[in-house]
Amino acid sequence: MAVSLRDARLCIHSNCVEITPVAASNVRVATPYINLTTAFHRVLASDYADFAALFAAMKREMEKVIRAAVEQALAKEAAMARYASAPLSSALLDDCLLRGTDAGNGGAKYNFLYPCFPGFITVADGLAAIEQAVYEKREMTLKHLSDCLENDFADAERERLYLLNKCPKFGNGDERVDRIARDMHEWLTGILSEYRTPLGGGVFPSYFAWMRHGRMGAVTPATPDGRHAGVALSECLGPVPGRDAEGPMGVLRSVCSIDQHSGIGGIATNLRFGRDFLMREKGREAFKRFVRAFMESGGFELQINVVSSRDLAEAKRHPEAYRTLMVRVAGFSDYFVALDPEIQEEIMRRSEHEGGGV
Amino acid sequence: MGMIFDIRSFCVDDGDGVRTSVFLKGCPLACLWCHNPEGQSPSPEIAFTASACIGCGACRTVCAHGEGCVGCGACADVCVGAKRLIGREMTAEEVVRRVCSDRQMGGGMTLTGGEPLYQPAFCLDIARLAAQNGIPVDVETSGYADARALTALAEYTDCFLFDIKESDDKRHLADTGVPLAPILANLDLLNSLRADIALRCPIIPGFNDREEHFAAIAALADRYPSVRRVDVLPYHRAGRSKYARLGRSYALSELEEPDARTAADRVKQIGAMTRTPVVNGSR
Repeated sequence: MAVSLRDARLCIHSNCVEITPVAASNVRVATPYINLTTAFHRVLASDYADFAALFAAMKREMEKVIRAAVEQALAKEAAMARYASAPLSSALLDDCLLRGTDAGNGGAKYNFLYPCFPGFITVADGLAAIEQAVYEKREMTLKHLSDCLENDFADAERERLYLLNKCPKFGNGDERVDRIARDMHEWLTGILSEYRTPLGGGVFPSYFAWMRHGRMGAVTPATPDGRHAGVALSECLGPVPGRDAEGPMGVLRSVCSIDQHSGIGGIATNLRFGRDFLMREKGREAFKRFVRAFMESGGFELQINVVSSRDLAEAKRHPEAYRTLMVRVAGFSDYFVALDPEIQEEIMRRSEHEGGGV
Repeated sequence: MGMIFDIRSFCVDDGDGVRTSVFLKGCPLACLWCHNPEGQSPSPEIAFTASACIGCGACRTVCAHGEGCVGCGACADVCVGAKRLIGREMTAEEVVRRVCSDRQMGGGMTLTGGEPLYQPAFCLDIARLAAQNGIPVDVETSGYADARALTALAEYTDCFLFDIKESDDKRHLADTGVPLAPILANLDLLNSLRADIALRCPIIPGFNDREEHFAAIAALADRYPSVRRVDVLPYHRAGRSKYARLGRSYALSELEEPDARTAADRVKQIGAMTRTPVVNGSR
């Protein structure tokens, strides 16, 4: 148990998505940000007997990325312990006074490190696409897929659309990809659990991205989920924006199939509902039921926007008229018109949910 | 085993609460204003979204039927975004398993379509199995169905969402393709079985938005104690693009949706004629 029951009951969102025991924590949030999609490009150059072998190779490469990033972060933590001190805030944190030790030097009760994984679902969707396209349906060879990615799908729109539209996507309650995400989450939680911070705290995963999904995506080549080079990575534990075709319940089924107990570093699931829908009594009732069902199914946190696609498009065209339009991004809220264009695009791609069918 | 064209979670307009709607394929009616034209034919068919086609030609190379499409789905199988096979065979067990995965939402299942009773045995199997699993069952029906099948279904149905589309027999035949009398007989039957009924009344400008029709709806609501509520459904054009995707033309392509005030007026107008509650069924 990482946190005593008493302290666990006093957990708060310390500033965005992560939760920490109140007034007892010296934690490093979203540290470091780790882009696992970089492993694809090293892995896809080789050949594999089957998908299991490719997945294992992916894990070996991702493990290198994770360990290098975490170890670098821990080295920095060690330097912080030596050089950084904060006497005032330490005086307010349990048990700094009791121990006579600054928080930076181990005075706080809890000293967690929370690595964060923008693009986690981009990897899961990508692996599911490889499994189907290359190994099950033999729609393309791994070599061909690798070439397509290298050229950002130039002259390969059919291949790209196959990967994008015909392969399973997280957020639709589809076990073919949900089990890959679940496997990756359990596996990387295990790797992180091997580490301790210099101050003795545990290391726990988090899935949200602040603005990093945009920035990391901008320098990330095309990925096997059909994503073009430069487009934002997945930003949280939920569907890549616009890929959820089964409505909110599909999102719930995928997200809540993953045990999120270890995700104290913060797990966000983004959903956007239409304003007209929530203006209706029936819509609000359905929304309440959904939030309750999501939390009861083991979901960690919902980040909800209530704004129509129409309004977002208008706000982009006429920012001066929408200065007060606030949206939830990924761990924080901001004025829509003040966001980077790629983050605006990402929010606009999030599906607008309504109450079912015609 | 039967033919389904969609199962949708999180529906708030198909009965009480948040429901899972099961769309059964095939309908004996062909209403001019139908917003689910993909529910009319009992056979699988192909929907094509021209704007999503990249012209790769893969569909043509696999097609074995040419102009005489049989809905085999080979083209949709190789297409990467523009063609979709509408309609798939499912067992009642598969349908109910899927419905049960939404149990937390607490609303229940609505059988709709198409006309669910167009596949009477399948429809009954789904309803019975759902009821056995503790899932509340609503059935949305045109009322144009076999009386024995309807009677059997009533045993497992909490509420019938029963369409009254037109009250003039000639117009009914012209606008929906079937006579009105069997529908009224079935409404009478459900009342005698003490079933719960909500009348669902699409109001289509230029077709049935007439004083006499409103009065006829109100009279039915008052005549039958089983009718708990009247849902007025103002005309909407949401189904229009589906016709193009199915390669069919939409008879009402020029018809505009009524504005919110007209819709509210219709609710008031009908409400003033009956003791039964009248609501806007799409609000």
